[in-house]
Amino acid sequence: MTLATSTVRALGALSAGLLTLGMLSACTPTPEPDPKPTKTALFASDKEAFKAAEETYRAYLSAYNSIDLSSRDALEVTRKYVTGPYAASEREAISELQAEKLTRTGESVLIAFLGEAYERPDRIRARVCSDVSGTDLLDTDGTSVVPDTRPDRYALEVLFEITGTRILIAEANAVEDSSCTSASS
Amino acid sequence: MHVRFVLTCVVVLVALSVGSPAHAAGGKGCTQAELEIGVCHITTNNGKSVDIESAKTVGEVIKDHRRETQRINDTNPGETIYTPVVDLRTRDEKFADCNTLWGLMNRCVPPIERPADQPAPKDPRATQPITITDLASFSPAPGTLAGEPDNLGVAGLPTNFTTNAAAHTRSGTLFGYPVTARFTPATFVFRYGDGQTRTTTTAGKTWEALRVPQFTPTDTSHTYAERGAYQASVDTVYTAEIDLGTGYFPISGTLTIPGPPQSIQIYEARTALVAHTCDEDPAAEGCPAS
Repeated sequence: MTLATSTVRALGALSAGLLTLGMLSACTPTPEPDPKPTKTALFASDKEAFKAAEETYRAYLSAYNSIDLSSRDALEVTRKYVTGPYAASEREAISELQAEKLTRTGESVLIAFLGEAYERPDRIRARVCSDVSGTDLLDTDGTSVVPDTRPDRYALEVLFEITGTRILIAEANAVEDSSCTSASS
Repeated sequence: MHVRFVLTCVVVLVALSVGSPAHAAGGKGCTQAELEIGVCHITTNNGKSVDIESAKTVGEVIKDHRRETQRINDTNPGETIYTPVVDLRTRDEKFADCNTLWGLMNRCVPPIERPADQPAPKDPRATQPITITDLASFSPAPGTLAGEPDNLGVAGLPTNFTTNAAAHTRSGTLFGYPVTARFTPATFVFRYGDGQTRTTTTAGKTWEALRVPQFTPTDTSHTYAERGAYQASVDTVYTAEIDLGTGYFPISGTLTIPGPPQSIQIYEARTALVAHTCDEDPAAEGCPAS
């Protein structure tokens, strides 16, 4: 607590100093503030942002569905749609599938995409409902490695990050959502 | 001081509550690959508390799958697994066992030591011996001949010859393997064009390089008996070494590469007694101004 107390003291002294400085500078003409580029939101409305995010997600899913695990380029297929922790996790997971020489079949289908929040300027949150029941992962003997416990559908909280004019998937967390599991495809 | 303490605590509490983002819910995230293999943590909201269903990693699921497959194979009653019976005893062990049982009856014969089969070497040198003729396709450089002075000569006087052949390397492929061949001239066969040849181990040196006067006999020189135009040439006899990526090793034999013919003009020199030098009488016969 001694540390905290001294920190508060230091802060107090600093603010007093700033106040004095402010009083002194009150007499001098205020300098023009330097023009700084402000981050402007890429999308004018939430609707536009959600639409763009959905397009990204669809493009990503389509790219993922085209992955050939036996190809050296498998890790590159989705690279332009992902970033941050999602990109890292995906890389790791695909590498493991490749290391085990698994074959992926079928396609994941986007059942629903619901924009939740456009956190200006650079984040979009959305709820995604995805059907993975059509996909399978087979070992070298052609036996499925997918456990019976795999749900057919997943609801995901997806965080998109806007970098320049690109929207990238930065995080996805599976959540419980009965509306996803019961939704008609 | 008391007020400050309370303030500090409030600040710390605020900081803590801000530090835990509600959306992440502590899950490690879930990628498409993980969804499809069924290993995603699912965050469930029961009122205020957040539970995360325990989930495995991709690797764990695959291991489980292997274990399960193994278990089914081991316990499947409908399927008989035939295991071939292989006697894993060594020859010595077999003999020892045999001797224990039958030694008294002198029926056991100790195994004869035989050399193990040589493993097939992977080196292409061994599988397919490379001969010098295989390297002919690498076309080592033919040596060109130069007569001194200036491809001219005087009958009865030595004409010096040199060749430019030198050690060099060529790259190519041999039996599908990339190969670098190094050719080194071993001997030179000077064909003077008048039916005479001379074999040397030197490429020859110019008179100037040898620091001797013109028309001095050298190891490569030849004296033509008569004037005329001769087509002289030099054959370069190369030895070769090849490198398959592990260093050079020699190939037995030599490759003889004939060089292009070089025309040599041999003149006849006549001597005459003159009264003056050309400096003194430039217009005299045989002088530059005549």
